[in-house]
Amino acid sequence: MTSPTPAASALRTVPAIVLTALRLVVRDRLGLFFIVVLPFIIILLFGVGGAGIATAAIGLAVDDGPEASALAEALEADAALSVERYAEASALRRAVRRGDLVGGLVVDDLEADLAAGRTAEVRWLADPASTRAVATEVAVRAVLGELDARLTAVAVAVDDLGVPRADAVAAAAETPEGRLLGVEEEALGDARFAWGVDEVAQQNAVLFIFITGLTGGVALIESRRRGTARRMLASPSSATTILLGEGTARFALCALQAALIVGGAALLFGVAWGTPTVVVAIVGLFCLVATGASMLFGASLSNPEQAWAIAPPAGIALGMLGGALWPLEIVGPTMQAIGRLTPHAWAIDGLRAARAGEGLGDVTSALAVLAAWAGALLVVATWRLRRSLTA
Amino acid sequence: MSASSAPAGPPGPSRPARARGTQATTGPEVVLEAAGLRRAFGDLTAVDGVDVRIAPGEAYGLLGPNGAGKTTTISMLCGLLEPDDGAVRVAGHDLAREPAAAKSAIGYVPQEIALYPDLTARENLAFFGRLYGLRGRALAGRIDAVLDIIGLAPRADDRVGTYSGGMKRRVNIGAGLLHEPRLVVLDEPTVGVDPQSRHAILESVAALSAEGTAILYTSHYMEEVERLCDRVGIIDHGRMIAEGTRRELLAELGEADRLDLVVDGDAGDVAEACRGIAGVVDAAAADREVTLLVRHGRARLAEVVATVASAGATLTSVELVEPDLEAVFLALTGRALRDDG
Ligand SMILES: Nc1ncnc2c1ncn2[C@@H]1O[C@H](COP(=O)(O)OP(=O)(O)OP(=O)(O)O)[C@@H](O)[C@H]1O
Ligand SMILES: [Mg+2]
Repeated sequence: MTSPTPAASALRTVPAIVLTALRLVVRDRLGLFFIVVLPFIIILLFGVGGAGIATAAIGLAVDDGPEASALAEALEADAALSVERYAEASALRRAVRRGDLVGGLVVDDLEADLAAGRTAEVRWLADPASTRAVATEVAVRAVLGELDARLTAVAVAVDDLGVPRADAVAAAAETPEGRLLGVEEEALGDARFAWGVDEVAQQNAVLFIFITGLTGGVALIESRRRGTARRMLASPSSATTILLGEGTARFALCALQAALIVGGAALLFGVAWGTPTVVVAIVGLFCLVATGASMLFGASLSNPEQAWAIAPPAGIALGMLGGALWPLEIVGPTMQAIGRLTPHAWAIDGLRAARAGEGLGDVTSALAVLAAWAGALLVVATWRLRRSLTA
Repeated sequence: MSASSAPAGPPGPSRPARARGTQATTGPEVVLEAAGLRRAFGDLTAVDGVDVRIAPGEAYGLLGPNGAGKTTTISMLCGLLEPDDGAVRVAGHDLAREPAAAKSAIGYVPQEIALYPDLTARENLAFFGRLYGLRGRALAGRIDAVLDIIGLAPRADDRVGTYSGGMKRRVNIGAGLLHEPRLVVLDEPTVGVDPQSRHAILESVAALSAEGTAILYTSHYMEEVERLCDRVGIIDHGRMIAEGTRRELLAELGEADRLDLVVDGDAGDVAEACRGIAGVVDAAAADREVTLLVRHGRARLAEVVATVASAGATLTSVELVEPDLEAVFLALTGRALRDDG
């Protein structure tokens, strides 16, 4: 055997290690479920909540009259909504609280206000923590806006111009802006923040990249316990090359997980991730953080079964702290400060900024914190792994 | 393992078979040379000044009880463990200074089954072959050749996790043969396998040796080492306590025979009592078994039987065994080589 230069040896060894590691992931059904299916189930459950998938039942509490019937009809005409009339606003509130209805509309003096040319006050009742309610509200507002435009046009034509009412109604669809239905929101329930599919997708990306990193580290423990690590070390490949290969394999796994969630959520749920450079930079750095955590996890534990049991709960706990399960804004100042210690919080900050259209220059602190985390974890993990292999 | 019974070795573009002893002119005098190896774990000195020299094509057996330091020695020889002291040269390359070149000359077969159970045998072999720089056609050819040597070609595309213990052991060995190393190092390759697989493994190692590959074989099974190896080193408590050909080692025993007794009663007491018999060189007890080293053993048999009875035990069986390495170990250490039967 000729002995090649270290660089040439690394060039052929690293891809071999990466491909084998990824092949092992594909062979592991349970692991594959965690990586490929679970993130989307969660986005579906918490982020989309059925909007656009099933019709949402809403209630309508309004005194009878021609305008009330027109309102009910307009709402019912929307395929996403089914409307139930309530005589009492209190009964409607109860139904929303119980979760029988996604939300409800209460209008107090619809006929009188409209007849007098005043703005009728429409109240939207919903639990703001329900992402399904948020999605439904969008549909309700769209119906109300259209109806309002028509009512306004008719009112203007009849009152100010003396146009016959039938002609005015026919012409009404042309008028863009309305002012006769003023929508207000009434929050039911305790949560102060509502969030939709975009936010859930961001949180899930961060949550799952990290969990995938930790579970990916279990393979390192198996490799040490089974002795495949020793066998690799017995080959002409240096320990540095082997560690580089293992690190690249973990990074590739995290990056694939990231690409799957970012791409999948955009395609399936229309999630808008925002400024591409910021998304790539934040997600890429966070993948490095997860890689470092993966290697450190793999170097620190010695029992693969134990590690398998620890990885998902540990990833979820860090996600809770770092705002990857709910927004950090809803927890108290102490927990917020603790949350800021996790890389998760900074990754979510960066992704939010991307969604708000900000550029790389606006997320420098998030990038810096993530880079520092990645560097520290990778250095410590490499040192510990090398020791665990050659001690 | 049909292929292994033919000493012609693997088919295909492998190196031509060389008769033993002719390669001294084509390469360095020794394929492996280790001097003064020492390694401690905390207070425990696992290996304490071991020297090993293996000539090209030679089969060398490292024999020692559990915990003697065999794996620790091998780990240092293969570059897996830094020695506290001592130096290793493989195929003319200093292991510390030219690790890649030195390691390329060794095929390491670890004591544990170091394979990916979720990969097939072929995929496992391909992965480890790539680590030794094999690629493409050359790799595919070597994988087929090795699958023939280990007799697993028909099951090559099944996952290793579905194999029997013996089959896994054979793949474990195969992964060390892909790059046609000049020295194959096997660390207890027959632990926990059924007799049939064990026989097959020994056959294939013998075939490798016959082809001219140098072998370093560790075991605590004396029979395996006696059968396979040209030269034997006996290691105990991290020290090489004897070394030589089988004949040389047996000569150290003088005229002694080995008597294996099985007793009902306190084996320790029996061993102690037997030490008093004239001609008994050594006596060791393990569980219910007593091993004696006796000059002119056949003549002393009656006296031994009487002594067992006087020690308050009943003799269940007694066997006179030809002198072997087990007896050598007993003579050197006063202990049996194995206590696990
Ligand atoms: N990494 C380690 N840390 C601490 N002690 C160790 C380590 N490796 C080996 N030892 C100790 O060194 C001694 C020699 O162990 P070694 O594994 O070399 O023995 P062995 O001859 O291979 O035994 P076996 O037949 O059981 O495989 C033993 O006492 C063992 O407990
Ligand atoms: Mg051992």
